[in-house]
Amino acid sequence: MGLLPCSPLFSIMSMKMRTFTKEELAKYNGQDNTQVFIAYKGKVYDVSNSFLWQNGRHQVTHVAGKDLTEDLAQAPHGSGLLDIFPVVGTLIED
Amino acid sequence: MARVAIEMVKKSGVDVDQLVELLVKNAAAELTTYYYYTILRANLIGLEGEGIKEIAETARIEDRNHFEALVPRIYELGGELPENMKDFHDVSACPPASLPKGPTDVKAVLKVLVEAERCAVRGYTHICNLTAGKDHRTYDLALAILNEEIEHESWFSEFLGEGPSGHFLRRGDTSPFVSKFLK
Repeated sequence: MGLLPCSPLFSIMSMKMRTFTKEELAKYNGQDNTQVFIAYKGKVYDVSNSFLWQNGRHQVTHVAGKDLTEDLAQAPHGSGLLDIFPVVGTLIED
Repeated sequence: MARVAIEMVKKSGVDVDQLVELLVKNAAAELTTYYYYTILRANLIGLEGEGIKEIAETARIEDRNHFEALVPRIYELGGELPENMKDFHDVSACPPASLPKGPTDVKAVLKVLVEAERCAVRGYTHICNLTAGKDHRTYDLALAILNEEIEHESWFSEFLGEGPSGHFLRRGDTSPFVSKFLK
């Protein structure tokens, strides 16, 4: 039996292999959308449930809906902290 | 508010509004950690827990000291604390250090403690990076707090079997680095 398009599982599964342009990713900035996504090295992570990404902002200086690959290189932590977040897609060049 | 001090910080290229917000978030993290550590400390009991209670208590008191030391700098820079405690809690720079599901599981409590300290170490490193060579007073304060947070992390890490901290317990007063801001 197929999943109903309105079911949460359907939206998670259809989101799984999704590709994002920078413009599409920008919609998930935590301001215009309750879902909060960030990109790192081509992968798009869902950080919506993170206490540290409330309202799409992280430690005041970083905003969601963006490719944060360069920002993370300067951050006082490594990319390993992203491992706990689900990958929901890949970022493609516009 | 310290008008000329703010001007100097602005002139150095630091975004003062951003810095004040960071200081408020870290002050919130310190005070909420003080609260959560009170609960964690109360649950560090039994043969295993009692041995950790003393360093948890030292870290708890020093985190409160960090809050006390941050507040004057927030107001000097033209900032203020949120009007109510709930807002203050919710803007914290670190997640709540809540009691784990199995409160008698000392290792689980230690993991909460070490993660809280690691969040703090990252936070003050961030502030030091933003202010180094620019806002000398905030840098000095953030560095002093960072020194103590690193020690807290290494104490709890040692008990988790990650390797020796290289430290002895505090002898006498708490906050050897931050106490100069509390006088």
